Amino acid sequence: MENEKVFIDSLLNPTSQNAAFKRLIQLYQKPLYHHIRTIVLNHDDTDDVLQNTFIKVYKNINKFKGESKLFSWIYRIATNESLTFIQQKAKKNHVSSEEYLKQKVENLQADVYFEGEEIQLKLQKAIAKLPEKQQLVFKLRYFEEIKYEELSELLTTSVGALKASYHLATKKIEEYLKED
Amino acid sequence: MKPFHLDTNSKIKSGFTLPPGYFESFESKLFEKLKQEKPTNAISINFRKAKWYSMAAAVIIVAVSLPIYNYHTISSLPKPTSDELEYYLDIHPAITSDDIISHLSETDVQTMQINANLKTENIENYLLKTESIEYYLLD
Repeated sequence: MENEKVFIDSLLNPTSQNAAFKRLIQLYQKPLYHHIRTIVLNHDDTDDVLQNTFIKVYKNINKFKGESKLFSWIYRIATNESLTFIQQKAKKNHVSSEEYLKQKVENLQADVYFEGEEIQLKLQKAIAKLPEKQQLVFKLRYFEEIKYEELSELLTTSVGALKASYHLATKKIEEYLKED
Repeated sequence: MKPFHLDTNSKIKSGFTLPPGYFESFESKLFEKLKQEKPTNAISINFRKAKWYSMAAAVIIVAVSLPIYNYHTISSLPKPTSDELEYYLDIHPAITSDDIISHLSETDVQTMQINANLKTENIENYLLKTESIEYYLLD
């Protein structure tokens, strides 16, 4: 991206705000969509969370202190929005977040926006069996290939703890996948 | 069972797809939502202000009324009898004489001295009637 500071200034300037925001959407909608979809699983829910994420960015850009990269800041908002969304849905259904995600995975087979290959479904089922934090770490590392250092900033967890979490998640998933 | 290694086997994709043309229409959908949000925000700020004022007013009312309520409630409660007080102190051994003394004022002590009628003759009579007198004398 062009000079980030200039871009942020244009996002804050009322005369250039709309054009800059449109550019921001064009740049980040795809990676953010996949990031959110990995966490919330369903397309319609992803659409809601993605919109909420951009709205939050639009409203809070003046609070961005520049301590991290703009994209990291937006990614963090998207992650928090996704997790909050799951917690709210789980609470509404009187179940835990893990249980809610398990139910979502069970419905994946009927989802028109899921390819539905056996191994992919099995992997999603294996992930759904993990504790919430391990699920998140595994999804972001395995599907999105986010580096541990970036994950550490995103989830405010040490690199060591993330590596341990990913290792445990991988072992459990491999155990599940080799069962047949 | 065949061994399976996520890092060595070919990568399994998430399997998620999305409606065709989704990203092309996303921007306009988002701006539409932002437009709808803006007037709502103006109302919500006023609403928030009103909510804060109401909360502040409620806190002040509670702060003022609570001591008044407590004062009236406590003063309207029936005073315990001497027997009730004795029983209470009896079943609460953790309350020591020092605890009780610490709550007495100078006037309370003077009143107690007058009421107790501490003449030598009265003290001797009391001690002779007390069964545990020998225990105290030996101690």
